Amino acid sequence: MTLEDTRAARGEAPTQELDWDAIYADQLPRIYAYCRYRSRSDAEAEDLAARTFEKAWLARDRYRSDLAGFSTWLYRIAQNVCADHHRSRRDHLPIDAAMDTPAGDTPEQRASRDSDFERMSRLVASLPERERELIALRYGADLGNQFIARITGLSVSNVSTILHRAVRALRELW
Amino acid sequence: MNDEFLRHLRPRPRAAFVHELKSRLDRLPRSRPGVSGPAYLRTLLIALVIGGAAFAVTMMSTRHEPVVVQVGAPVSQSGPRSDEVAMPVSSQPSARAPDNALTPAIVHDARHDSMPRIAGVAPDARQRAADRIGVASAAPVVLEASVAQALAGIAIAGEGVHSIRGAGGVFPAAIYNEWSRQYLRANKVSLAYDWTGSGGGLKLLQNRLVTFAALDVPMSGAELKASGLFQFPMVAGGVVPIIHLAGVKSSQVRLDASTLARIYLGEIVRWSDPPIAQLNPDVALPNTRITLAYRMDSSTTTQLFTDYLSRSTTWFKSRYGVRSQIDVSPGAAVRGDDGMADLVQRTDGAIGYLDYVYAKQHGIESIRLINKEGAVVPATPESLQSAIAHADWLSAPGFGVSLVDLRGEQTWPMSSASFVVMREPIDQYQTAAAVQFFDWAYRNGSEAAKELGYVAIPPSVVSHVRASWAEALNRRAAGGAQSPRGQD
Repeated sequence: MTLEDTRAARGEAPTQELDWDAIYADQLPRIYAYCRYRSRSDAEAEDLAARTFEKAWLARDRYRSDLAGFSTWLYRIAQNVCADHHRSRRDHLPIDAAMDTPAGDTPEQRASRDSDFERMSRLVASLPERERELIALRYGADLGNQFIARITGLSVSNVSTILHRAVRALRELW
Repeated sequence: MNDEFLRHLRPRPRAAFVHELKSRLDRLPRSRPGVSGPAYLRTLLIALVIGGAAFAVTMMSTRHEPVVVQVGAPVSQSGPRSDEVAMPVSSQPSARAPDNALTPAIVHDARHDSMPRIAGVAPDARQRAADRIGVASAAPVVLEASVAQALAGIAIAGEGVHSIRGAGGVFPAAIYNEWSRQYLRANKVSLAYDWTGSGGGLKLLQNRLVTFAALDVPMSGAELKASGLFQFPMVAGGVVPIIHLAGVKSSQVRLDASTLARIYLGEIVRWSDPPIAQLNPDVALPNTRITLAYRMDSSTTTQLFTDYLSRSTTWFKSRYGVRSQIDVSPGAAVRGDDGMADLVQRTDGAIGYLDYVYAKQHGIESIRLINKEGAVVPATPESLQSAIAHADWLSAPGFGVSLVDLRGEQTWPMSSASFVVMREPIDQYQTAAAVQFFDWAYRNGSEAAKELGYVAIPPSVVSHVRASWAEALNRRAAGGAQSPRGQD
């Protein structure tokens, strides 16, 4: 349990300021992790995260006074970017074959390739689309269920149920 | 596998990608959709009116109020304490501070010898450095002038770094995650910590892919010297034995090291056997058969557990020794803390061991242990702190001491610390930024550590760590003539 969760459980509002550098540093790892769950390699995830930020950055002044609005909007852009990408690559490699494609040759990439995440991302890829999306938002972008409900249009209880089912399925496959 | 495990798996972007994308974004033009021509003119008009008013107010206040500049006056939030070394600092970055904006003492020394990086640095950079290291906040720790000077130098050397990357053991991952969130908010510097295991972290450090590695077992002085690394403890924890016995509360049960070892050696097979019953005369122990749970995967939790048992029983030492992976079959092999907790909680008569932080975060109660002094102690922040307090930190290079089976009435005998290792020299761009982060964590991270179930390193030990940084810098300035404290 993170401290953020503890504070959320206590009903404390997160303290955030609308500072673009801070927003970038905070949101990029989340968006990247979300994209990584929705893609086949680190390089693809970087491309998707970069496209998301470039789109958002061009019009960021629109959200100068509304951080919540900006975050929601940013994740919707990421969802669209990933969905477009997913549609465009559908005719290419089957997912299992793609997962076996080596990610790169640096020691870091080698370490990453053999990691638990690689194994987990294969399992996540075997889940239905909606479960995959929620796992990516929850455990990739590290978002709370309420926020996920807001950007997916599902109810909070629905999000919890689907996530619970997905995690249980992953646990059985692990 | 659970929520926490999935969070640990969260992939992180490469530092190079983060930098590259940021500079690309900074070059992008800003569009202003939705601002029409008349609206734009209206905004411009309002800005001119407000700007004019502000200018008028500024002019009036400048005419009537003389500017007072206090050079070298001790200014701090809580005022200087009589037992502290006075560190006069201007706490107003916007005031017309003189060239020696950080502190006269520091700047005077810095301009002479040991830290050429400080000399010639713009005053505002020095002020930012002072603000960031928190010198002006009058921390309760007594800082020697040389340590404050070193921290100021490190702060300046690390100026401009936007992200720090580390890798290593699983144990400190949750607290690094939390600290990174807080540090980002406070200093706009991000920290990415990859959970690769201690060995993996060390490899990444040696390949210069990360700035620091976090190790669950410290490196020896010879290893540090051979690799050109320096080391210090960052946060502490421990290992706790857990049981599940129908009708018995775990915290009621007490064991000593040799009984625990004999259980794991298969010599004691039932909970009502005399060695356990003698230690627990006031507990109605059932005649349930003991199920041994052990980790099939390599882990520092197992290493600490076997280290503790090997110290008490020679037979355990000769049969298993200190190992990160053991096979105590017939028993139940599990994977990870999740597997261990799951198996023990649903098996009547089971005994196992967990990482203290994991047990605390998941509300799993442990048994009590009889420590070296013969006292019965529960696993609490206080008993772990007692272990830290009784360790002779300066007895080993790089503070690399074991916290297992130490003296002290309240000491939890299976305690451990997570160590940070970094490459020397200390004042390089990335390393300095990382040291700054650790200094910040020592000052501001105790509360988060406590909330997450970790035990913070106490100020008395932290002051030695800071002194080791100062000595590392001095040694660098002196061309390696001296060895830093605790590092050689």
